[in-house]
Formats: sequence, C-alpha cells, structure tokens
Amino acid sequence: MQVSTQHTGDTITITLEGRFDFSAHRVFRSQYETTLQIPEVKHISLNMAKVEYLDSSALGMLLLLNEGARASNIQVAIVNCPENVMKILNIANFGRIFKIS
Amino acid sequence: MKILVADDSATNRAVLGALLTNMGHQPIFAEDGREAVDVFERELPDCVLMDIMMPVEDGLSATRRIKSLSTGRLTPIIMVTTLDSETDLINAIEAGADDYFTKPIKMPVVKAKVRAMQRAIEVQRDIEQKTQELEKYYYDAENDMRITSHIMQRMTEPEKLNDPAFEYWLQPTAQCSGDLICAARTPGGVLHLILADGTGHGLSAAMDVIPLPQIFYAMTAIAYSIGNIAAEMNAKIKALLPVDHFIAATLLAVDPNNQTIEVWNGGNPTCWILNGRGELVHSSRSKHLPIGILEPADFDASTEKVRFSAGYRVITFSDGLPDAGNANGAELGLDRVLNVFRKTSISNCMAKLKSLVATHTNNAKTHDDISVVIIHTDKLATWADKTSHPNPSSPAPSTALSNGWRLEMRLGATELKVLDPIPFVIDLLKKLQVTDAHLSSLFLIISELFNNALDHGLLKLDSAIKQGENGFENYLSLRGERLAKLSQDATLELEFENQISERSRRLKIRVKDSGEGFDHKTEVLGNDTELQHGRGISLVQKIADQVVYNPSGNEVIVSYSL
Repeated sequence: MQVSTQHTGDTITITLEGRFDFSAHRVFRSQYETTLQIPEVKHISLNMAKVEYLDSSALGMLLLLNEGARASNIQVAIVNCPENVMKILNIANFGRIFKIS
Repeated sequence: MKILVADDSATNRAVLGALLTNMGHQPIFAEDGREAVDVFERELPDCVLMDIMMPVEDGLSATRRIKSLSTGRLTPIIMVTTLDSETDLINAIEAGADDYFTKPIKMPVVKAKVRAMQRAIEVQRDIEQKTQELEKYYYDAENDMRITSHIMQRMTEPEKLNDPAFEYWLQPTAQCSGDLICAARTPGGVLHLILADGTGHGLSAAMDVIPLPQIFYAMTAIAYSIGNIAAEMNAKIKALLPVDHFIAATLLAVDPNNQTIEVWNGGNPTCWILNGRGELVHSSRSKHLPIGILEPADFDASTEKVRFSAGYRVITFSDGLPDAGNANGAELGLDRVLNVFRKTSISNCMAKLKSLVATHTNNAKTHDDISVVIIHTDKLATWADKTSHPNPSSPAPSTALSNGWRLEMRLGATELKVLDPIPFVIDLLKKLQVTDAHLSSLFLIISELFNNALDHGLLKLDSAIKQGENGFENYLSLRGERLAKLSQDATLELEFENQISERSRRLKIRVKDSGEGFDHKTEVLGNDTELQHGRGISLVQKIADQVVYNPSGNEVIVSYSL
C-alpha cells in the first residue's frame, strides 16, 4: 500500500492507495504517528478512494489511529470510500466511531 | 581461519605457512593427497590450499574426495598449479576447486585470493546461522500453534457441539483457528450459540478468542441472557486485548419453549432466518461494533427477537465463507450461499455448501477461516416433548440441601429496568447442589412466575397482543416502552424457602408484585395457544406440586418437590 499526505490549514489528508491489510501496518503507522505529532492539526481525513481492499487488521489499524487521535483531540474522518470498503466498515459498524462518507 | 596447506614441497609449505601466519590465520599441513583428506576430516579447516602434483594421491583426487565429504559447509579449495595451463585449470575446477593460483608463488596473489575466500566463507556462515535461526523460529511457532490449538480445543468443549439441534462446519486456514463456535443449553433448555471471528487468522486470532468460551459456558449455565453474555465478553476482551484487536461475534438464543430466536450480531455477516420452505423471512444484520472495541459503559447489549414456527432454520457464518476467493480473486458472494438454502433439501445444505466452497476455490486453501452454523428449530426438543415422553425420568431427589435456608429478594423499578434476577437465583441453587434436572424445572417455574408478575402484573401487558401478524414484535416493543416508564414505587418480591419435613423435601417459591393483580386464568391459563404448546403456567402446573394464586392475583405460591 502507498501512503501520501497533504497538509492544508488544520487538516491533514492521508491518501491510501492499494491493498490496506496487515502488510501496510508499518507504513500506515509511521505515517499517522508523524501526523499526530504536528501541533496545529485538528482534523485527519483518510482518503480511501484508491483502496482496493480492506481486511480486519486494517480495521485494527484504524482503531489505533483513532486512539492516538483522541488523545491529541483530533477528529478523524474516513472519506471517499469505494463500495466494497464501505460494506466492510458498515458490517463492523465503524460509523459509531468515525465520520464515514 | 584454519587453513590446510597440502604440498609435497617442504619449502612451499614453509613459505605459505609463514604467509598465512602473517595474515593472522592458523596453517595446518599435509604432504600428499591422502594425508590431506585425513587431516581435513580430523581438523575440519575453513579453507584448503591444494597442490595438484603430489605423490600417493594427487590434488585433483583429494579435492574430489574432500568436496564429497564437506556437505552443508562451504570449504573453499584453492588449487596450486605449477604450470599456467588451461587443462590444469579446467581439471581443477571440474574436480571441485573454487579458485587457483600458479607457482612460483606470488605473495600478493595468494593474499588476495585467501581474502576473497574468507569473504565468501563469512557470507556462507552468516546464511547458515540465519537458516538455523529461521528453523528454530519455525519450530517454536509450530510448537506455539500446537499448544494454542490444544488449549482452544479444551476450552471450546467440543463435546457440547454434539447437540442435534444444529450442524456446524469450521475450516481453519492454519492449525489454530481464529473462528470459534461454542454452544450450550441453559437450564431452561434454551440453545445458546456463539460464532466468533478474531482479528486476522492463525495464532494471534486464536489467542484473541481464548477468553470467550469460559464466559459463554459459565453464564449460559445459569441462564444469563445473550445480551448480558455479550456485554461481559466485551468488558473482558476490551481489558485484555490491544486496541487493534477485536472479535466479530454473533450470539444466538433459540428458545424451544417460547419459540423465539434472539440475535446479537456485532461485526459478523448477516444472520439469516429461513422458514420451512427455505425462504428468507428475517435478516439479522450486524447492528453493533465487534466485541472488544467499546468501553463497557458504551456497550449496546440490545438484541433482536423473532418468533419461529415449524421448519424454521437459523444460518450464521463468518466472513470467510462469502469472501472465499477463487484463483482469480473472485469471491463466492452471499447470493450463491443463500441459493444453497433455497434450492437444496434441508438435510443436504451443509454438504452442498462445503462442495460449493471446494468447487469455487478449486480446493485451494482459503485466505480466512470459514465457520458456518445451521440451527434446525424442529430438532430443539421442547420441555413439553421431554415431559410427554412415555417414561419420564423423574429427577433423583436432591440430598445436599440443608434445612432451613430462605432467600428473599425485593426489586424496585430501578433494579427491574437493568437487572435480570434469575441468573443469581439459578447460580445460588446450583451452589446449593440442586441437581441439573431439578434446576431445569426450577428455572422454568421461576422465570415463568417472574415474567408473568413483571409483564402482566406491573406492566399490564395483555397476552392477546401477541396474537396475529407482528403480534410478538408489537408485544416486545410495548414491553420495552412500559418498562422504561415503570412507576418508581413498583416492586417485585421473590422468595425461596427450603422446607423439609420427615416425609418431604420441598422448595416453596413465592412471587408477589405491587400491581393490582391480573386474572391468571384468562391471562395465562385460558390461552389456547399456550395450552396447545404446553407452555406458560400450564407447564408450571404440570411440573410443580401446587400452584396457588391469591384472590387478587398479584401473588402466587408454588410448591416443588426436590
């Protein structure tokens, strides 16, 4: 999976691309940990438009991000979800934790 | 390095020996080919400098023999040739030599070649060590798997999965499964079942689900509701597992006496309820987050309840089933799974499902664990079936109950809204050594009396609401509304007293509510359906010795022989 970030004002957009599964653990984690360090960030927007696949360990990584973000008072939104990604997030009812669109 | 110098010339041995010593190596010597092989076997040097022309056995033959000996360990052999001839070179390489230099010996060349060999040896040794470490990791991992698998097997109590009321299929991808199926009956004969799927698969997923069976069995044994069991599991898993680990789970309670199916689904695929014709009559989609994510205070233990009739089946499975992929990555999909149940005769569905997966995946290993459960409500055996058996086995008398114990409970509106007192009572009776057979009867009596007092006495619900289409759902939602608004001065008393005389041992059960009383005759006795199904208070009258309501109908005393 490829991860890139874009910083505008108090929002960081993290764009994910490819298969979001256990193999993405290290790259995803190092990326969001860096992001959480930036003091002026208030919102993280996870752009899922180019995610082909998402498994349960990816859901676990989203929970890790959420935990870190909550500690720094940062809102996390998951945006541009393709249909198959949306389906998995819905079954897990992640809408109760994240803003998903 | 320990380096063997095989040369018949004492001068050459001395020159090369001095050079090697000077480079920090340890030279050992042989004067002909045969001695070279002997010394090699005895001393196991790291590298060999071998002269070609030697008496007794030449360097080529000795090289061939040494190369055939040193299996698994790279020992470079550098040939020393007198003539700089191509034939010598080819012969040397074919015999197994790794490099060569020519006489007269030029010191810088020998030095460079020995250094090159040293580098090759170091790389080889490094690989050897890593291979050994990998082998050890592999062995340790296999061993961990074996132990986890053993623990899992013991904890899931597979003998409890022999209940004829359901079929199951569990196909793990690794030796340990991250999918888990547990099932048990409550004292009242209700089938409780959990199908859980830990994050990922293999060892860590199996570790995730290990705490579940104990909670499930302990709480089912004393008739906790599946909502309560899910809440307890969530609290335990949240406390134990790291943030990124959680468990998708479906908990089911199928009650043959009240003919209800109760579902709690957090993160698993939709659970299907099919009628006798194989038509989908209800879909219980995942309404909750998986277990282990929310704090206990935020956990939602609410369940769905559906009434069933003849021929109904409940189908639940992990996402490994619809997601099973073929060689092109195409998933099996829900439609094809559902079609199996529409088109196959009831007894063949599981076999058909297995062959569908095998065909689709071309018998390849699936990416995720697969687990499937089919519950046949027709095979649950109701209490009425048990008691109408021509030769009912009368429970053996309990002996361990001592004289004189009495338990009285008084619950106010606040408690009634949040607490189910029956598991506490059942747990206590269990600890007082009441046998399972008695416990089963007592559970039925106590829960019937308690529910009547709450539903009809305090909440003033009319059983007639249950009749007709959606009657049951309407009844449940009205019950929820009224319970939420229950007046603060409402009370419900439960009393249990062990009465022992010379001739009998009895348990007196008294239930009283603060309501105006209800007509148990029309409300719970005169109901044809209840009578027909042998449920409700008519069943209590069958298994108890005596059932007496007070004139206003807000107090009932039941006597039961232990």
